[in-house]
Amino acid sequence: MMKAKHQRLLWISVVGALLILSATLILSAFDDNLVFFYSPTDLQSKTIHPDQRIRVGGLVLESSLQHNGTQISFTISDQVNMLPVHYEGMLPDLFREGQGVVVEGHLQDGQFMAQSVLAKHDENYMPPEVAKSLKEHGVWRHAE
Amino acid sequence: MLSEVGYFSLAMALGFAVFQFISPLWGGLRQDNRWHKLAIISARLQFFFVSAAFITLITAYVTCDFSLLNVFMNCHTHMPLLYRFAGAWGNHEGSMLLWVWILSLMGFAMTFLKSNPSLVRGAISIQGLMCVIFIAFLWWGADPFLTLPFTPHEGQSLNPLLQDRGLAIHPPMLYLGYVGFSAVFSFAIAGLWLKKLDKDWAVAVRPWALFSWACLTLGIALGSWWAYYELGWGGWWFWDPVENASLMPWLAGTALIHTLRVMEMKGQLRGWSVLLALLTFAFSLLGTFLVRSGLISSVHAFATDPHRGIIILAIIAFLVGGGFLLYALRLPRNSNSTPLQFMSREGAITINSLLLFAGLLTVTWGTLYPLMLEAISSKTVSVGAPYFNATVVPMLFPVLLLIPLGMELTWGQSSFKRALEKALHTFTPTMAIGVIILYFIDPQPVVSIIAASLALWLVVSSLYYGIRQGFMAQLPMILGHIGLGVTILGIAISTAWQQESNVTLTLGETTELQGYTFRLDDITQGNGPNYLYEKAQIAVLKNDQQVTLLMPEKRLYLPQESMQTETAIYTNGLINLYGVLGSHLGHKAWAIRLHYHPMVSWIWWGAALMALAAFLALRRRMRTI
Repeated sequence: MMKAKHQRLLWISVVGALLILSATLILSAFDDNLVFFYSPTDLQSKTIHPDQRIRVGGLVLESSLQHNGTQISFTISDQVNMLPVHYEGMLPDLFREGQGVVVEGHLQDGQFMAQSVLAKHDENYMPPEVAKSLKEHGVWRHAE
Repeated sequence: MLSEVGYFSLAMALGFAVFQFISPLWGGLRQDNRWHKLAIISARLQFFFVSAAFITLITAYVTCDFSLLNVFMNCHTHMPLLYRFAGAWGNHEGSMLLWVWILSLMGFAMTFLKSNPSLVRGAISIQGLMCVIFIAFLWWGADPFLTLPFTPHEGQSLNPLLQDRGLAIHPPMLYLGYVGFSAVFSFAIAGLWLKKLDKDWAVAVRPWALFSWACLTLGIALGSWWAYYELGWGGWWFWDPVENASLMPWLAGTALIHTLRVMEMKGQLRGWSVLLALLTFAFSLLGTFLVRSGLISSVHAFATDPHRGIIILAIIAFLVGGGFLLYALRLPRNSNSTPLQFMSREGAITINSLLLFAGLLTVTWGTLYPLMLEAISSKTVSVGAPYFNATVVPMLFPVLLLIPLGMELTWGQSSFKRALEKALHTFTPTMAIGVIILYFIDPQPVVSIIAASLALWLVVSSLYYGIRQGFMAQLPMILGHIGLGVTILGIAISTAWQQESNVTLTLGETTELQGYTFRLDDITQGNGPNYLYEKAQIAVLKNDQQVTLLMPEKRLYLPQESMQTETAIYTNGLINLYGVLGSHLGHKAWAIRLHYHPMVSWIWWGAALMALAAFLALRRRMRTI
């Protein structure tokens, strides 16, 4: 049987090792997986590396939606600047022209290659990020 | 009329809750047993009146009483009866009433306990205090009985996503889990206050923890299942803040039900168990706050009024802060319990609870960081699934290795060598078979191959343990661990080998996915009770034999004019085929998305097994009380 002192030492080292393990995991995984949100206007003044995963939000421009088989393109705008978006797949149910949307993906030569399109859950719902950025550009109107 | 009944019931409940809180304290001071009787009567009457308020709201929904603002906003006469019924808790105010009802139910259940009278009185009192706070919050912050100055003829109907069978059962289950832990919290506070934190305390608390944990497990599984078939994205877990909010108390609660077992058996891990008891309910409250405050974008964010969020935050700060203060001041120090043996079952349980805690920390950090950053810097970020996968998955491996080893170790002093030998009996063959089979199917996803093999080992070693030691003796433990193995097997295999295909099909055209042929046979249109639909008929063939007919729909819900896809899912227990109908692309062509998900349903079956195990453990406990 181990002495009480040794047992305690063992426990302290286990807790220490676990703390170091989780801190390492958090630190190594965290920076690479933070996804920043921008509005189309923010993107005018920022250079985003094509490898960097970002989110962009705004309103889907009226009559900008085009289908070509499963290839989809549309334009999102914050009423000041615009950004063309390309996406392959099926749009979410609540995707509508004139409504708020958030896309996640990569920026390549001024075009946005979306991996996912988020327009979720409620027809009156404006993603908070979009509402905030529209307010900043002074074009927010409260949803009726 | 119903509004007045509701207000009356809530007012009465609030009054009795005050008595429920005060009279045990007063009775304790005066050494007078009559006050304790009053507390019990108050708790029961309080439950009666909260139930009356809840039934009133449900009645208003079922009868479509649009004089109530809440009913007007979320109900419609064309909605089927089930959704009118369940719609009562498909909104912020109604769900808070359900929350309070369960809080009250826990206090009601406590009044039937016979053993540990002083501890139970303390717990009933704390439960009463929480009822006072939350009924007051309901009254002033989330009033479900507000009336309109006139009665509209028709309501605005419920969000179509919430019009679903799963909705009727998912929130009550989840809340039974969340709020069930309020009883554990009350017992922890009472134990700290009375300085009664011994084996008896653990015996008294564990049934409440088991019950809540089982309900939480089912609630999370139902939520994930709902997301799988209703959202139509083919996924079952998105590391969405709302999902994380339910995972956090689950992780803390899982650690808790295990450390309580150690405390029951050995009287050890007292400080850690009490801390976990406080933390589990703290995270339940945090979950409620995150979900209900509207801080995060989700289907659950009914309320977008920040004031409510601040009130809930203040309540959490009061309850949790008070709990931790009491913990710091009143936790009895330096009792004569023997130091914790490292190489023993309690040692393995402790290490696993620490791993669960580490997982809890990383999930909490990833979930709260965007909120904190936005509060201090106005930058908007999101923490994606890759972060959670990169942090949680590595912690899963030691957990999976430790569980079978821990089962082979005995309580107290134990021979590690013997346990290792027993564990290796099953480890070597299972891992060899698992890795070889999966490697030959597809050698690419190494992490999934190892995870699936380890999960398989967990199942096999649990069975092996049962065969040698007898299944009946430790059935809950064996069953619970098999359930975890089944769930992780489902997760590992479905994540690694799922397939997805986005296609455009014209009538009669076919497409292939994973050896199955899908043929678009027909598209029909029609009327549902409160929606129009477009329905596809997709024949699924394998080797020219028809396997099934998938009939995914797109629905246009009329009052809101909002679109909603209904997925079609075929399952044979081993694989799921999943079809979603997209938009009409002209010339009789439709966008269609098809998924192949191997073993995905095992995830939920495993969760059901885990919950069943906890209920079985609870039942054994009830018999001994």
